[in-house]
Amino acid sequence: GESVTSSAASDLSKRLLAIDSLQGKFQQTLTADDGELLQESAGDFALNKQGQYRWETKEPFAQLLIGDRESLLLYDPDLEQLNRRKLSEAERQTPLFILSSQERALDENYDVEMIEKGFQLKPKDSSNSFSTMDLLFEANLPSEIIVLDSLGQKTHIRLIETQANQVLPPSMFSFEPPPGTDIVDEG
Amino acid sequence: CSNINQQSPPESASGTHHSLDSPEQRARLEQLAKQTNWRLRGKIGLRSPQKNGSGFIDWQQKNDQFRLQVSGPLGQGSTTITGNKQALQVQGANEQSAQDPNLQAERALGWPLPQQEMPYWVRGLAAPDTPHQAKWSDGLLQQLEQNGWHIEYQRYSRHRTPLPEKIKLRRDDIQITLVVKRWQ
Repeated sequence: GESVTSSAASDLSKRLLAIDSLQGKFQQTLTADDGELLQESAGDFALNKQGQYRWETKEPFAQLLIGDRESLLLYDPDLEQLNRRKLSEAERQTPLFILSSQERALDENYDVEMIEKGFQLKPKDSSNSFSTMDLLFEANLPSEIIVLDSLGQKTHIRLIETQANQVLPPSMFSFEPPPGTDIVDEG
Repeated sequence: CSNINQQSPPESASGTHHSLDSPEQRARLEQLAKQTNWRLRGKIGLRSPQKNGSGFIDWQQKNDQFRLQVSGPLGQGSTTITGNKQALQVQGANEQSAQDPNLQAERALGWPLPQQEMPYWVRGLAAPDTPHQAKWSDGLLQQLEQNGWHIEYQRYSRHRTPLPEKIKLRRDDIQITLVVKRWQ
């Protein structure tokens, strides 16, 4: 029979599958286990059902990340450097990837439980990933993501001014670096 | 702190074209070398056979205690290295199990951290008491060769005491680009 977790996993998958696209702003904080604020950033994000995502950090400094289920492009205007490479295992465990890939195999890789306002994910194989990831929803849209890593470092992402199921232009998920950019393409 | 004449290039050092001439420039460097509490925040880019990437860097120095934090855009893979001239502790998502902390730091960062020299290099100074070759112009360090590293200072801030804003550090097949967005 279906155990409790798998019904939570299927409920989460259903919610994620209902989202064709999502875009908005993010505010992110990284705090140490003693609560000290390590890093703050803010910017714009977008993702779609094909598994493509855009994470454009604007504050405190600019950095653009565009990716899909296979690879990742990271452009840094200050460094004038662009890296394109395959997604590492650790990067497949980030909130952005989980939100955009609508992991059908959620319950294969994670134990999913219902919590207040959302779901808590615990990876079954915790070799190089987070300890817990809380995906919180508001009006059926993801609103907050809280990730605790094995050291107690907490990444807290707030998704604000989110709009769902808008048509996102393909240009949002592609990028042409300016001339003179140092390009490192590991394919 | 470093001895005074260490900061002005020895006349004999080859490769020194525009040596420090004005006393103000010497004084500025002496002042800078004495300062032991500072913080830099910005970007760090790495090109090496093991690892290519870029991320945010936050380096805080209090006397000879330092705390270096490097993190990727999604906060994942954030590594915190704390320590002083002797000891080093590495904490981070991609902490590598190794006894020797320097090796741990190198695995976590993807490049060998020249822990003694970096606090000087990032501020446009040669590390004290170690031979080096330097090229200066208008009182600012432009190029430095020290302990196997070749360092290029590509841009300085326009503060009263100019500090480096863009630095390229190279050793063998490792190239690091450091862009400082905020000095404190």
